[in-house]
Amino acid sequence: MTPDEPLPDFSDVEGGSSSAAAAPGAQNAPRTYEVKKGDSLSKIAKHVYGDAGKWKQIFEANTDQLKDPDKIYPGQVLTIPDA
Amino acid sequence: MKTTRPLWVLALAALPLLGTACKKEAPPPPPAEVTPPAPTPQPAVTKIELGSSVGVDKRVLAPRSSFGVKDSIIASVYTENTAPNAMLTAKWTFQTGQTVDSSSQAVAASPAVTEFHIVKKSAWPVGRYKVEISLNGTPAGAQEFDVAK
Repeated sequence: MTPDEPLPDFSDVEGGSSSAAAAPGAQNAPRTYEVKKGDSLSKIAKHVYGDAGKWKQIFEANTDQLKDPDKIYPGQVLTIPDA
Repeated sequence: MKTTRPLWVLALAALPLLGTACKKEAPPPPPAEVTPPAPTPQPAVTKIELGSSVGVDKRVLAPRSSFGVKDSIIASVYTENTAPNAMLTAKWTFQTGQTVDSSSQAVAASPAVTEFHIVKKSAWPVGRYKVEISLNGTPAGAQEFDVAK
């Protein structure tokens, strides 16, 4: 930004917060995502990583419970590997 | 001529030895062991992570420090040893020093993860941002991140 540029407008920013008790050692526990109705692995990858193409990472981290990447069900808890 | 020392001379000569023997005192008792009081665990922010989505446990799912102009931005703040009435505050600022948002949240039972999020209806201005976390009014950590096209 140059000094002449107007300051950006942040008036349409909305913030929020929430808090949850954590299990001891939660910092190092695997991250998980609970599948919702209408989810697909690519949709989850887009939501989590910002890149739908990373669905395969999620699939490979969950081969213990996923046999077909197109078949996931609401309520399933998937491990989310680091990007 | 045979001279014999009187007994009292001998006794006098032996006095220092007697004195030494008497001086042998019992060793002093070992100093009483003073156990320092166990340190009181201090409330602390142990980690701050940034991402665009959180799980039900409030932890960001894929930590990162760079975001797109349309992304939600979430900070997960890990705390330990906090009292039930502990309060966390997140202040988000842009590189110009402008405050983007500020909000406070009571912390759940310790240990806890607290998420703060910001969304913007229009695109985020590209640049460098910072989120500063305070615990009960005391600065407890900060993270910087970028927004890029």
